[in-house]
Amino acid sequence: MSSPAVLRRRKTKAGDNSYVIRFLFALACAFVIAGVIAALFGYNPFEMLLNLFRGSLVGKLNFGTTLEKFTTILLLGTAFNLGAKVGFFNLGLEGSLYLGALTYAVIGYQFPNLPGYIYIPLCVVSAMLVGGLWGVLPAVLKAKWNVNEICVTLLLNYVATYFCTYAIYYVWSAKTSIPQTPQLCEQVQLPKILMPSRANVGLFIAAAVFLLIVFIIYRTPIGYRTKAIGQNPRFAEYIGIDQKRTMILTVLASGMVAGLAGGMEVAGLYGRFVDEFATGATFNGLLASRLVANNLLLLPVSSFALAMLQAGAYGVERACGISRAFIDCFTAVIIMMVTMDGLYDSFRKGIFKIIGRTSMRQRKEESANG
Amino acid sequence: MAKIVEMQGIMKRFQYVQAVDNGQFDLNEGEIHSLIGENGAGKSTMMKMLYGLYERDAGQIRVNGRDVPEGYNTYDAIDLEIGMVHQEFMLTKEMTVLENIIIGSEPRKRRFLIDRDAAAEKIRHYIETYHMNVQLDKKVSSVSVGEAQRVEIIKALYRGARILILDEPTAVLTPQESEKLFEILSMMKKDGRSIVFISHKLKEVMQISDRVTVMRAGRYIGTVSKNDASIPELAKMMVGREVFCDIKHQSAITSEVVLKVTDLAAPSERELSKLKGISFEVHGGEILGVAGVDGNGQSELASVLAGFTKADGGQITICGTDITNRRPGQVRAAGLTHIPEDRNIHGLNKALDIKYNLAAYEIGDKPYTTGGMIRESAVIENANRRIKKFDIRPANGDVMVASLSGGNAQKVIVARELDLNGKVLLANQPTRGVDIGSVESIRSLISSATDSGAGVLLISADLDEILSLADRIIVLYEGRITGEIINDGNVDEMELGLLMTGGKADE
Repeated sequence: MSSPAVLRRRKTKAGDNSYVIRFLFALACAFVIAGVIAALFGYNPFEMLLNLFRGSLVGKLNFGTTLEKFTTILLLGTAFNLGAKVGFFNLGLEGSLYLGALTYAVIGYQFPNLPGYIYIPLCVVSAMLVGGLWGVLPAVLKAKWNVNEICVTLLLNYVATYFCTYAIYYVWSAKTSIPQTPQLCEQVQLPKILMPSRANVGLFIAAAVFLLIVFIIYRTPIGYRTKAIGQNPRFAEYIGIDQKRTMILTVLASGMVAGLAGGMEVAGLYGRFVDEFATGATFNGLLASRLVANNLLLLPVSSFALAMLQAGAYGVERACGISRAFIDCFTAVIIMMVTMDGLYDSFRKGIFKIIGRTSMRQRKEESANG
Repeated sequence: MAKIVEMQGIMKRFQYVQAVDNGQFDLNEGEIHSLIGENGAGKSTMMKMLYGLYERDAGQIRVNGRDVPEGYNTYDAIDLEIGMVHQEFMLTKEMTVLENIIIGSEPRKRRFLIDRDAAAEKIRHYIETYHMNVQLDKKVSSVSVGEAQRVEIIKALYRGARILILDEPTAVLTPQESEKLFEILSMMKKDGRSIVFISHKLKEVMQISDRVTVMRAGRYIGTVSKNDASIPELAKMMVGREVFCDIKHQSAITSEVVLKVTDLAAPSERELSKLKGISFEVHGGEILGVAGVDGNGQSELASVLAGFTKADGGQITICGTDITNRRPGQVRAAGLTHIPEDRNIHGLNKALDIKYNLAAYEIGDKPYTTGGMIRESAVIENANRRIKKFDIRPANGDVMVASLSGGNAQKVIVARELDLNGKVLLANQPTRGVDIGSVESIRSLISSATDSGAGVLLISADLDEILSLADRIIVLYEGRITGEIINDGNVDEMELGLLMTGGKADE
């Protein structure tokens, strides 16, 4: 009862239900704003919206493209979410993803005679291990010397990306005109679904991994401890949870999932490692997770929404001639709206009441001056 | 006498609780009016609405006969000559006393410069009028708690306060400092200022007030003139029944040393709170009380014992096992259980419900986890057992701990820790911010913890608590032990007070 009102006024986050309402409300706001902007530029906002949905949901190609994007975003969102669970802001997903992808690509063209049921697990596990070990470096630094993870993870992304570029130019180059690794062996490429889109069975692997992680987080003592660190680190310390160890292991898992995402892209989409194929991957993961306030259970919803926006952007471009860049702006508006914690509350309280809150003194002065 | 404040039909709801329900209060000019009630009775909330920190949901507030409007805030309150001294001081530690007082309304010279001399002169006027001992050029980080409180009072006066609200001002003071404060308050009263004194210490209330208003569970219970009131009567109004908080502790002290601390030194952000080599022993079945004014190393002691911070030197053993600088998990494994100082920071995971808070320590063990999976049925069973045994309300393990009252939240911690049957119980301010009913039961639970031969280290700023529970008392002052007293039931409070101020009686 003793801290000042200003500090307490921010509402505490209530249950999931209220979050869904907030999410939908923010989405509605974003649609209105984007619609107005589209109208200002002379486009028909309803046509834009219609084509956004059509371009992401209707037809094998469109829906498949959404699923293809969804696979990667779900994995990256999960990876980011795991870090967030232990208070680790993992911006290094891209590094883990690239190195995981490279690992899959490189191992995947070495043994043409190895049967798939051994070969695929070998590639997947290696990709995850490399991604995980790379991702865990900053966590170790943080645990040991309290090095801020944001800087380290961001910068290590460059190291990883450039290393991959170097590797495909010189070490494992396909020696074609464009920088890439040789084609994967047939048996480690993942079968496509919903042809002619690029969606593939990586979707099911991603879903399985996601479910496994949900199970661990919500049903096991490991998950209980992991969550406790994010929910209240001081409580976790007090109750005797080894925070450093738990953080390192969780970030290791986060890197592994990102590495897997890279492997899936190589195995399912490209069939080889293509230079700089996944720029901005970290931010997709971050956004997916932040959009649902790091609620792991709702992650598929936000991942799917982001995937729809990305896939639908092509549709909008084709049908209305609106540039995809415009849809990206639209995405940004949505994210801004959703991450505005107080948006829904202030709407309910009445926006005008808040704007109108001046002190008696100010009002007195105003009336004296006027 | 004119009524300068009238509050009627006040309603205020926070997310989970109706903090004030039809609250009522009035203040005459030139009186000291105590507002009493248990923790959570709504006293502070009422006054924070008067001071414009909270907006009321409904009701009428009149100051000097005029209604205060919607959207009333602290700037308005200051305009209306209302000042408030909060329970936790609102001071900037790295600034001097003078700077703290004038911040936000500095006198200017040549428009852009602060006129320190004019400020000092104005402040000195108050210091002299009320005989307050305050040094203006000291940094706030180096002044005592009592002095910081006087700084807060001057801060309010400097802004022209004629109505002064003091929120539990004596909670952090030694008996001597409290006396001094009361003198200042009486002088201010003679000067025509009106004072609202929030407290739950009835002895003080009877000593200084003209009238007393009692609140209970957010409701107005009644207002009585001091002359018509008695302590038992007020207590009954406050609690709604007769209370007996004086649990007399009786135990069989064993010869086994369960906790041994030798030459312990521990770091702190503040020089005064650093532990500078303290030694003591706790035997099985014994309750050792650690008395002292807040901020003299108690938190640091608890923190180092629990393994949160590393000691600078010295040794801690639990039943012969060296736990110095071990991690909290290892310390717990050695047999420490811990009721932490701040239940909201350390003691509870507010994102979870009662049952998972109750099972927090043992969650990975059987029967809570079998085959790597948490068995919710076992967690529920355990919760139901502990809820019943420790009388936690509501008796439903699915309720989130964030929605519990202070007393019941604290009982969740006590239930979890006591049921572990550790060898040493570290109880740090176990009844702070807890309603009287729960104080009673928590104290008797701590007392009964020694039945199984466990030793208790009871750190408390509440002297009554220590006097009623502890077998032996050590006093911490500026990180050192200034004295040890066997609690034979005849301990002189003034003597304890002296030890708490380092043995000097100058303040």
